[in-house]
Amino acid sequence: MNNKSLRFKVVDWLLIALMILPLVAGIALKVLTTPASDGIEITGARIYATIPMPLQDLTITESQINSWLIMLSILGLALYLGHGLALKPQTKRQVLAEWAVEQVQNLVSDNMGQRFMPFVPFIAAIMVISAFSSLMSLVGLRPPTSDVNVVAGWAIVVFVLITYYKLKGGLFPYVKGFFEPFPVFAPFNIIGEFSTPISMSFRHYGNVLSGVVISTLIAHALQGLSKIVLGWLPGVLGNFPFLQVGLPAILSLYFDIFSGLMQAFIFAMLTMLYIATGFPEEDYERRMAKKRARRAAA
Amino acid sequence: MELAIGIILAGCAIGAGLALIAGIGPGIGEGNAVAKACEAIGRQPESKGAVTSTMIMGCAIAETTGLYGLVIGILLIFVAPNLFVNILKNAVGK
Amino acid sequence: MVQTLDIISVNIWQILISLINLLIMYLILKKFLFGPVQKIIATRKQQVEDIYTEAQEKLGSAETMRHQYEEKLATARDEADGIVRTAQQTAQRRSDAIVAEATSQASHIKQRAENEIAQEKKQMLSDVRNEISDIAVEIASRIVGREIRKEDHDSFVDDFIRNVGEQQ
Repeated sequence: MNNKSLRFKVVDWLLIALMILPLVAGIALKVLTTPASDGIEITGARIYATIPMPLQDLTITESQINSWLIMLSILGLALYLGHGLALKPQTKRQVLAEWAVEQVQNLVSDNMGQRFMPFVPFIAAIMVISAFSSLMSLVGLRPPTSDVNVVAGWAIVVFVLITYYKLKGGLFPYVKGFFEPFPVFAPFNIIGEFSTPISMSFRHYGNVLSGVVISTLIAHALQGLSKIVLGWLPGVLGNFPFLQVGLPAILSLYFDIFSGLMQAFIFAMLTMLYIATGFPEEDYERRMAKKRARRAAA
Repeated sequence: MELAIGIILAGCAIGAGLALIAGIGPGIGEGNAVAKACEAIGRQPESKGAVTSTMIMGCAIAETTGLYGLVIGILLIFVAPNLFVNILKNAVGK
Repeated sequence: MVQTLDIISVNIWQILISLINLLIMYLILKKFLFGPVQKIIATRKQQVEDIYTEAQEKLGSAETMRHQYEEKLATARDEADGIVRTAQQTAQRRSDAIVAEATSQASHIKQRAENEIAQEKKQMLSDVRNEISDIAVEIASRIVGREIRKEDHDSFVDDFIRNVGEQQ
């Protein structure tokens, strides 16, 4: 009993370390590799390595590194919440885990219907990875979601899923859908179809990027201001940007926490709505009836 | 040469400014949405939660067009000048 | 100099990496969080349902038992009522018979007594009549001084007595 609980404690602490260490590593990597520089620089993610590939060189950037780190962190969180579950909840973390799972289940069943219940982990994955990526800027790392490639990858997954479920309703209705209400509208419909992932990715990316840009501008402005106002202090104190200590946190309250969580929620919400409207209830019923009839015939 | 670069920079800056006019649309739209939400809450205070969450959803989606403008503006300020100057230098160099 | 990407740059390999990242995230969450938690929730739900159905069954059997007992109790009460009723009826009947017998016997006795009384009265009357006639005859003989034939005058005396009796 005691031995078991001790082992559990050790596992718990290891998993909590797995949650926190990637972030620490990311901060360390950033601090160690960023040279001291003055002046505003608003650029894309830093390139750590370039791997030659066909078509286009693969650049391993800050975004990739950070998203891998955040994935490790989420892996730690998932293991921490999901290990050692008991039939009778004994720990707070089990209650928390069940609450989170039921929350996502309710969201999915409300917005997509009962037939899409296998999508629960996928929706949760989108929400968690997006929210945590955006929240990375709280610890001073560059959020991976401010890179359009990252978000575009997710949007493409969603687009493939939407198309798959539209095709499930039948190839002919799918193609016919492009020629409605008149055949003249076909180009617009096709553009509209492809604008779904683009608008999804740009919405998310633009929101987070605007936060990053404004945070950087404010930070530099505060640095300059503190140099002007507090520059008379002797020695190192004069160069230390005092005004930069607390004020950006207030801005990050909106740009990082609210905007990041909101965009994560909206991305997941739009995913659910697009997929659910791409495969309506009637199609599902028809399909199930056909399947049942085939099974009955066999 | 300098004149050409100056024109490029000025054009990019003006373009960025114009691109941010796109912010008007979402501003008006979101204002309308919030006004209607307030009316709805005033009429039915018990449905405050649902109205608020739907409103925030709608606002965030309506913001998309504004964000397109923002992205174009950021592109024009931070990406386009280098690109265009490089193109110009290449053209002149040849 | 630090190498950086442009603020917007599209790289298909990075898109691919991010796409795969999302799928890996999905698998991680499904395997390590949602799978176990959903299984636990389902197991618990099943258990609760089992307990409920068991309780329902027990409640049902208790209900039927109660019904049986109530029925038994009702029949027992009916039986007891029947027994008491028959006993009462029997007792009633017997008492009625006893009373009737007693009444008839009493009336018999009364009748007989009355008859006897009437008999005796008649006897007495005839005795008295005889005596009176005797006395009258004696008195008359004394008065007349001669012997009157008893048999001749009996009818006369009888008439006299009857008249006397009627006048009385």
